[in-house]
Amino acid sequence: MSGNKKRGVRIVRGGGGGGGRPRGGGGGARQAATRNRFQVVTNRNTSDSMSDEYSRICISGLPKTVDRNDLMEYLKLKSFKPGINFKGYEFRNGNLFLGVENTEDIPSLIGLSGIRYGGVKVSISQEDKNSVRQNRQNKPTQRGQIRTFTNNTDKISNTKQLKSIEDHVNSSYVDNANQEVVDFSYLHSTKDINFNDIKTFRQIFRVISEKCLKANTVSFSHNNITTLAPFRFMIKYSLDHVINFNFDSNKISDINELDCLSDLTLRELVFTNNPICQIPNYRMEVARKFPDLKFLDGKEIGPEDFPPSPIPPLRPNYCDSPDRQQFAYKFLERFFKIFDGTREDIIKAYTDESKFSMTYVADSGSLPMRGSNKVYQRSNRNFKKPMDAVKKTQLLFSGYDNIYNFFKLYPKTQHALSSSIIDSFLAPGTQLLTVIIHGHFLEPTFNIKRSFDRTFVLAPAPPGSDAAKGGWEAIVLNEQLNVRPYLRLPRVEPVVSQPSSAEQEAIINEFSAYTKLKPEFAKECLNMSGWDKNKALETFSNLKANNQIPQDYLIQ
Amino acid sequence: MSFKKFNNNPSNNDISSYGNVDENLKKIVETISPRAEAFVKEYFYNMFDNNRGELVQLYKDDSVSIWNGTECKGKEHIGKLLAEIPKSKHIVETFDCQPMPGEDKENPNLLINASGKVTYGESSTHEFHQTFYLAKDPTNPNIFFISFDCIRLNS
Repeated sequence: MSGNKKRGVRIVRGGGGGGGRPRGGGGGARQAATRNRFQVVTNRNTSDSMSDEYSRICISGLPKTVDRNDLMEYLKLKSFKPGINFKGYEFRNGNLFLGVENTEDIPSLIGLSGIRYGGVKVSISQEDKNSVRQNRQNKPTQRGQIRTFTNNTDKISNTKQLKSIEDHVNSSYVDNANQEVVDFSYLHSTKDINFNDIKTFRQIFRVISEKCLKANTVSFSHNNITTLAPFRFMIKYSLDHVINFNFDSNKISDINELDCLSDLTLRELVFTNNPICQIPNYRMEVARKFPDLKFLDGKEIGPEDFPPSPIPPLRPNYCDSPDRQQFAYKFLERFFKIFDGTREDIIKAYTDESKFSMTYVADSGSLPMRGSNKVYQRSNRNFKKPMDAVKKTQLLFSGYDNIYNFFKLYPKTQHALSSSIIDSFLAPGTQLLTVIIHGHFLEPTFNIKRSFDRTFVLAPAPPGSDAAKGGWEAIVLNEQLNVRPYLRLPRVEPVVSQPSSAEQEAIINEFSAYTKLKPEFAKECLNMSGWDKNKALETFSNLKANNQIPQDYLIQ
Repeated sequence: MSFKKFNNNPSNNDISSYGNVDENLKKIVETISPRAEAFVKEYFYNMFDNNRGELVQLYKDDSVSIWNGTECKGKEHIGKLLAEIPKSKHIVETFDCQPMPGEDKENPNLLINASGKVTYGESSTHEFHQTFYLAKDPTNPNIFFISFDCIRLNS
């Protein structure tokens, strides 16, 4: 295989980010797989003709011309498994069959089914088992027999387990807004499922992403869980709607295991009856790791869970006038919707005088000239680096054409506006609205989350201008973007100036009339938002957009 | 060529990647860049960490300093805020400067964005991001003051 050198690099990278393999469980099968991997190394010169030793996946719906190596690299990247070794191939009836050295990799490849490649949707399935088994039985060598044996048991138990997880979800869960909880409690003992195996969680995440679109809570209580490592892979299953996790009565004893959850959006965590609850400053440690966590073990996280800070308190979104803030939010909403889409309509928001530049802080583990890092690195207008005036001028994109051309090179993004901090105000003595947003985005192509700071200087779009005709209320005069490794934003404390109860009632009535929320839920929403009407409205709009407001919360 | 590759200075390798250089823009960049560099490297963070009492002199009476969502307007309030923040040590990792639109295109006001790490007191370390608007002094176009700055701790 020509890609050996490359592969070595990727393995290092995958190992660095993967955070270790799950402990215990499935040891026998894994050992066999590892041993086989080494055996294959000595056997590298086998031709690319299909060897029936390996389980195969079948890829159908491919474009007419396919660069097989490119496709294989793509699959490795998408499955987050740089170490997958494909063994042999065969084109038959328009389908591509690929042998997979390590059967453990097959479920994640199948999990990619439906992915777009070369502009079309391809489906990936495992080749019919019976024909594979038949082929194998003809294989005379001892090695083949051992492999057939271990792989088949592995595969059968795999399929069986997936079926039992699917059955469990089908029988216990109905996907509607009233059922928010998917419950996997006790399955370790009742169905003999190993919850310390990454395979199990890949299956679970897949089933949730297919069958439980409205769930926001997952319970894994009483499952003998010792490691949270599989949750590092959850981000690629688009499960952002799941924000509450119950790990009650498991065996998590190392606080650092919680770092495996650091890419997830979290509201509530439960670790009751786990050894970690016994460690000193347990609540403080968890609160520090997850600044946006609201509840831990059923109790709201409050000031007492934080170490005293030497600095003045951090406050939520700042604005100098609510009208301008609304204007800024509206602009950002439209801007990022277009930026996350095809970006074509963004050009009208800029003039021939607009300026854009960016700076970039690389992740310590990332390879600078790979993937999206390359775009950021090349455009990094960081004055800390030695840079001559020519370079500084080239990297100051000036005018809508240059800016739009740069955005065309910029990786595809999904911005999460709801979890960002936005300050908006007029620059003193001017009519220029400054909007500074701090948040994060996902690069769906690589499943990488990054944080960013983006400063906009805006002016109202002149009536009749291209911008106004294009639906923009503002034009961008200056824009500066800083891209950096993903980090959760710190916890902010709303100014506590609780309105009097009469004032509260007036606000509730107004909010309830506007949103059609029943007063008790309007009150809850306002309470959560520190009685800031704008903030409450924002919360409400977000929940509504995600269909997270049950019908019976509303005035019928 | 191969030496350059290991020179860790990619700027030499892809110099032509973003097209021709606009000479007028280059002139402006040459005017404002040294100002931004002096402001970030010599003035603001240096004074903030080592000589904070003098820092308020960089502001004027209609200046605004926004500290993590709290607005301080005017020298007096800004001075009070600065006194409230414990001893600090900033390490700037990135900064960048753009010309702001205005009447005097050849000598424009400056938009500066900086980010890095800051430690307050003994051990409270955070990532920070700060935006500055530097405006010309009405009496002397070669002297700049902070019209606003807005900082957020990102961790």
